[in-house]
Amino acid sequence: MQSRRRDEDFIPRLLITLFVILVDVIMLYPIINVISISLSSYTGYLENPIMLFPTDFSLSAYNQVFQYSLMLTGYGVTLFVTIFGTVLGVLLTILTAYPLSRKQFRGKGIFMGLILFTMFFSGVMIPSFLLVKSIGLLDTIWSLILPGCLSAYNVILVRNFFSSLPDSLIEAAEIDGANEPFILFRIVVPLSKPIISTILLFVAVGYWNSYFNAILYIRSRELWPLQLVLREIIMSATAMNQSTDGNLAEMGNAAVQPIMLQYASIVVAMVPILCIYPCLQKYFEKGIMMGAVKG
Amino acid sequence: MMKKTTSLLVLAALLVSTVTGCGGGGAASSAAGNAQDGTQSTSAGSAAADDKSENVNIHIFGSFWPAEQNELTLYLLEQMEKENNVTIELEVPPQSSYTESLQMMLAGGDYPDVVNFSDHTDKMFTQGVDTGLFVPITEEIQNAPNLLAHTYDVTWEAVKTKQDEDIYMIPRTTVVRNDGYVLRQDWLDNLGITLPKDLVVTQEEFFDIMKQFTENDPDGNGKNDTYGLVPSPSSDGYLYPISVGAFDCYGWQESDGEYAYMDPSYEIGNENYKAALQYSADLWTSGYILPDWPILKSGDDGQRLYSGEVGCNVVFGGHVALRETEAKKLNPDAEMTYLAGISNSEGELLGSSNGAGIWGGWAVTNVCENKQRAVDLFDWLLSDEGWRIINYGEEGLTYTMEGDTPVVIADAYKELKNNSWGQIFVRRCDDPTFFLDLSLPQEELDATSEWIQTSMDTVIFSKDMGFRPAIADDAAFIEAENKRKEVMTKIIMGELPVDEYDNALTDWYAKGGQTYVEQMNEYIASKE
Repeated sequence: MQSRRRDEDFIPRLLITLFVILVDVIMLYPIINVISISLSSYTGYLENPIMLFPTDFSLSAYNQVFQYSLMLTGYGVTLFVTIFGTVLGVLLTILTAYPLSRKQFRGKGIFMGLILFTMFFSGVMIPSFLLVKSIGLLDTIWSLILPGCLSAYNVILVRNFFSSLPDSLIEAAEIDGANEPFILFRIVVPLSKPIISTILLFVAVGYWNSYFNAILYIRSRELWPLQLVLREIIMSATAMNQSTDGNLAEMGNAAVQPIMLQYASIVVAMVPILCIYPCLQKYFEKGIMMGAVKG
Repeated sequence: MMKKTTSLLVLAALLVSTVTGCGGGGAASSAAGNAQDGTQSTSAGSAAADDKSENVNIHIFGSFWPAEQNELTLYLLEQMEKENNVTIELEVPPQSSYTESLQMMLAGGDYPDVVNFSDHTDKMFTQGVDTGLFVPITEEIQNAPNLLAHTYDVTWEAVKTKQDEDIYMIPRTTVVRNDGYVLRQDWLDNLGITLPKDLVVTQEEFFDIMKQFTENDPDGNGKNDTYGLVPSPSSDGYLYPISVGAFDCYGWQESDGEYAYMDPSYEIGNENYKAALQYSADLWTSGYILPDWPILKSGDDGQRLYSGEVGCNVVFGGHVALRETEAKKLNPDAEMTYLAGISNSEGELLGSSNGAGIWGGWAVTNVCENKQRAVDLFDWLLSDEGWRIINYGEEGLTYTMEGDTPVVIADAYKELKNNSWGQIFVRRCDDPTFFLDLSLPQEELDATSEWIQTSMDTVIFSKDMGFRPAIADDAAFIEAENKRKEVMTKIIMGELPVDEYDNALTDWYAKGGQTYVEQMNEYIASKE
């Protein structure tokens, strides 16, 4: 009986396995290709642009990327912004979501409405700039952290998760004399590791990849984040100087082929995130599903 | 009960704090007010003595690259400050996002003294002139002998933004040229082709060279894997005919037709322009142009030359040596040479300019308290002393003096000069050494100088000077213009016969083209 069931399952399982392998290859191939090209010479790239392994191994692209002193400051700024911004963002999200998940909070409907409103309507570039300027954050590192620190979407996710926790747990704690901060940080948060890990990853990746706030609010090159520095390196190398009107004399030449520089920049930017993600992966999936269960 | 009251109070406080975050347009309004009021005080300020005994602060907002300041840039800035007794506050936004940063700066109200625009017709600049943010510097320019001596006359006309006698920008001159082509010399040698001594060929000779580059295995690898040329990639997605100068098309010139001035590309029935279109179409349909041409971006044409896919690019004469250096990295046998161009029906080499010899410039704002000192700073850069630093760098670092002649120190010069911000400020229109790699051996330097000189000597200024008529922003006209370009592209790709261009022009005239031509005629007539 069991062996017959196994025989019946064999073909479907084989097909599913093959399909999953295909999806894995489709997902992994671009990353492996980018890394391989970044470690190859330009000739190697031209010979075989779809390579899986480096051809004619060369680190010249990385040499050019790292010879900029702004790379060091860029890494420093991005690390500070990501770490501090993630901690602050997650803390604010938890502190905002918790009262909104409590039944006793009478005003939560109004605040939830206001939060939802910001998801659909927000200030565009110039109003945001004027706001940041008026509160004195212009050209400071805080302008890279505070605007956009609290995401409405994350608040909703966490609030839904908190709502799904058994009321009896919280009631039991209240009976034992626990106050709200105690309940939040000693009971609710430890039970919410999946969702907190999820939003931690969202927030961290968001800060790591951000560069547009720097374009708007930062004047000093020492405060340029990593992504902006990489963008500048690539733009200088491709000599796509703005508005040269096709004036050939104004267009320079690159020491390293621009395409190689682009690939090296992609690797430099994504490696730290690739290192963090596996640690949080086990919580990620669980967190997303749990946050979506209850509205 | 207490708890309930407390929570209601907290709720009320939170609601109040949420809505009081709105408003506060006062800062922006007062900045706009200052922009208007500031004009008067700035004019009064500029009338004050322009002597350099007092150190003044000049705040410059500009697009500079690369992002890092090398030794040469620091030296140049130091000399600018020392020789002009100024303190320069340089604000350098990311070059890749300069437009956004410029918008933020203009919206924010904290204006610098001098702002860089890479296009003298930039809307933000012209609107700033209209609102009084950017002020005329006509008087100050009269006291700038170097700027006056080394700038084209037509360039000054181009920066009279309001079409009156007032100058609104310190122009950044670019050398006006009739660019030629770079060819693979080794391919020519393999095919037994010798270029004429004057480096000018006829239309038939050029066609034949492209044919041989495509069909006769010029690289000798036994494969049919080469193409004649790839023309310059287009910035707007449409294809344009190559070498229109060879067909007596020189932009806006005096005309015997209905209008006093006409550009052949806008004249219905102009056989010269149609001949230029047909020539490009013949090259394309014969397969002598790289098939990827329509989808290439700026800089890609060079890459295809280096990789040996094509044997010819449009090039500025000063870049031939650079092309060879890059190509040799992939193929040590690659050699490049320059072709000055294709002669016209009378055997002459001529081509039109693209613009007024200007690549944007520097606008002075109404908050600048020392307009003359700001202009003097840029004027100094074109003085003999400033110009030597821009071209040669720092004595002892990038060049040494042998008698009166500066001689470059090759390695330091190559590493530092091209990445120096001295490339960005201003230039002399009559000195193309700015564009030369002075570390080249003397023989190559002489050849390159000759190529550049030829391109400067064979250029005819198009009378429009890069002017953009008001109708050019009209939606219906833009659609008609795109349609015209689409037909032109299809003709070049062999999908439409060349006579379709006249039909496209008829339609173009009906949808705003006539107004365009009339406005252009008005502008040119006002300048003549």
